[in-house]
Amino acid sequence: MKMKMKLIFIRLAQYLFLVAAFVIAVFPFY
Amino acid sequence: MTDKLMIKMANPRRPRRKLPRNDRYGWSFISLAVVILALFMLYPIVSSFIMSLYAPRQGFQPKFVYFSNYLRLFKDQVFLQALENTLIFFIIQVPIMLLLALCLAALLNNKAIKLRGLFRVGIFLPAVTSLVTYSTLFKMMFSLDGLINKFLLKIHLISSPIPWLSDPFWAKVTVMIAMTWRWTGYNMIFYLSGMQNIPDELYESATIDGANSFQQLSKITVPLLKPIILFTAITSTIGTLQLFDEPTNFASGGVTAATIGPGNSLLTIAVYIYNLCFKYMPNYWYAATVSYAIVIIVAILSFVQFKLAGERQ
Repeated sequence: MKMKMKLIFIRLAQYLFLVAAFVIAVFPFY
Repeated sequence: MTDKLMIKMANPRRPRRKLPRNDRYGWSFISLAVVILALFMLYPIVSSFIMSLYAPRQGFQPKFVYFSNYLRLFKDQVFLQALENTLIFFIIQVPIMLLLALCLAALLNNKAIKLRGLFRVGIFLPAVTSLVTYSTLFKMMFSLDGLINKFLLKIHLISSPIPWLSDPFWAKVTVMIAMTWRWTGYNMIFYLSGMQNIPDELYESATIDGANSFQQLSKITVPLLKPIILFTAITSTIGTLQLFDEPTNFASGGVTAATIGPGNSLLTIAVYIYNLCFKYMPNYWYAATVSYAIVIIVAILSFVQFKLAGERQ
């Protein structure tokens, strides 16, 4: 269970990083 | 016996060695490209080096001064400042950008991530903008009453607007942020293409052996990507040393301004070459010397990077 939670957190952090990079990259076009 | 044959027998000559048929065709196909390259690449390279050995004289032909122009570089305060600014950009911006590109590429190479195509396109998008357009855009965004200051004030991260473009320190930071925005996606694509060529079996066997994701990245991905990392490091080094568009567009007044950035904080070597040719009293000979200084610096830095990467070829 603890391992699964850790994996979910890692995946969440990865998505957060990607979304932040995406928003920063695309925002100036707006 | 004909006359022709008699003459030939009287003057025995070694027959001319003919090129093989394929070689002749090959040379004829590339001859145009070779001539154009020689005319527009080789000639200017040699000619500008010869120019760098001359100095202008009032009313006379330029005088051959050996390497005096090169010695002048060491005493030229403006050149030293331009060199310092350029090296600051290079030392701080290039590693941050390459590391960021590597992290993004590693994430986007992960098959478990959804919407990878969308993220890839979005992050690469800045690389398609023109240099002048994005510089102007960032200049607007980072102005005193621009979008960035308004946003930072709204979330109470700062109490007064940051002088992004009017403070020597913040002006450099702004240019670095803009360059990172523009070039990270471009470098990411190189890493991504390199990662897609690494066979999955390596990762599978590493997983069976008990290696975690970080160990897989540092022991498999990075070593196998070394040639590509070296390539991006060298192209980024050359790009940073030739930095021109961003500083000139960020400086209020552009190329005609008295200083490039507050207190000449954005003066780079490429801008200095422009100034020597077109802004000050034209001195093409000294400008050629400064250009060769860039060549020497790029050669040294590339050599160091090759040595650090341990590449032999």
